[in-house]
Amino acid sequence: MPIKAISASTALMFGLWLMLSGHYTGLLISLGLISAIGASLIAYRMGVLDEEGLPLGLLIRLPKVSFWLIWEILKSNIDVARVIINPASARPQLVRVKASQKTVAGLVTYANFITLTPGTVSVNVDETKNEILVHGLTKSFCDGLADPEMDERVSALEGKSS
Amino acid sequence: MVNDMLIFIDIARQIIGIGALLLGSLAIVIGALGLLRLGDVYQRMHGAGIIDTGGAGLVLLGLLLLSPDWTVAVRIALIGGLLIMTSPTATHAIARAARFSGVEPILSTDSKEKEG
Repeated sequence: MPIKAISASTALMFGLWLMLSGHYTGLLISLGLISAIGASLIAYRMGVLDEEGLPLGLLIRLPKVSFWLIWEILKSNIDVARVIINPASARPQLVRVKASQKTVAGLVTYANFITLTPGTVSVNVDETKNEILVHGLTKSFCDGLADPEMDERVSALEGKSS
Repeated sequence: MVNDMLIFIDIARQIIGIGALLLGSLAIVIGALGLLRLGDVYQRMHGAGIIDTGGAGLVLLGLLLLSPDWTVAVRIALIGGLLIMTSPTATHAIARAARFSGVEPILSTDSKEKEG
């Protein structure tokens, strides 16, 4: 449905314009709206307004996990800081993590979440096997990945329709 | 009464903001220390990860709380969102590039997965 994607992208860009411009006269607002529509049309012509370029369902559901993610990031920040203060306690590992996401955008989000939590970095994403190769700083970080909570939360972001 | 309340909230906001700035600076120092002290490229990225998340996040939170009006606050929030999306991508790009150019990670002996 191109109309849905174009109007969503227009709304997002016009909202961004409204927040950043700070000029609220009739002429300038209508010019901003026209540019937002124009940019969306060009983006549609470029073919970047698909599920991968604008994963709407994923973006809408993102706030649901953000608080949990921020809490996880804070916890592992402290753990990594502890390893840095005592570098001899580093036990670097490579592990393969199974991903249950069905869409590419979901898989990328999962890999991004893994990298975002300090102590684990996704080194390689295998789309065909749905596997992510992860470098962990110590064994406990890798054991944390064996817990499927993050995987399930990202899969829930994808929604049921896709 | 209401006026007192507002002044109290304003002071609390400033104290929390300054605290977040200080904590964020501490996180950046620890991350920089990690860049120097850890063993190889892959381990050092975890130090950079602290700077990207805890450091940048807390500094931006502090600036958000101390921002003079809402237009500044909106810009800071947007910077935060942009950083959350781009910094893991950049870290992943470095890790992937290091692996593809043949840099072998130092692995601990109790590591299960050998490179294959």
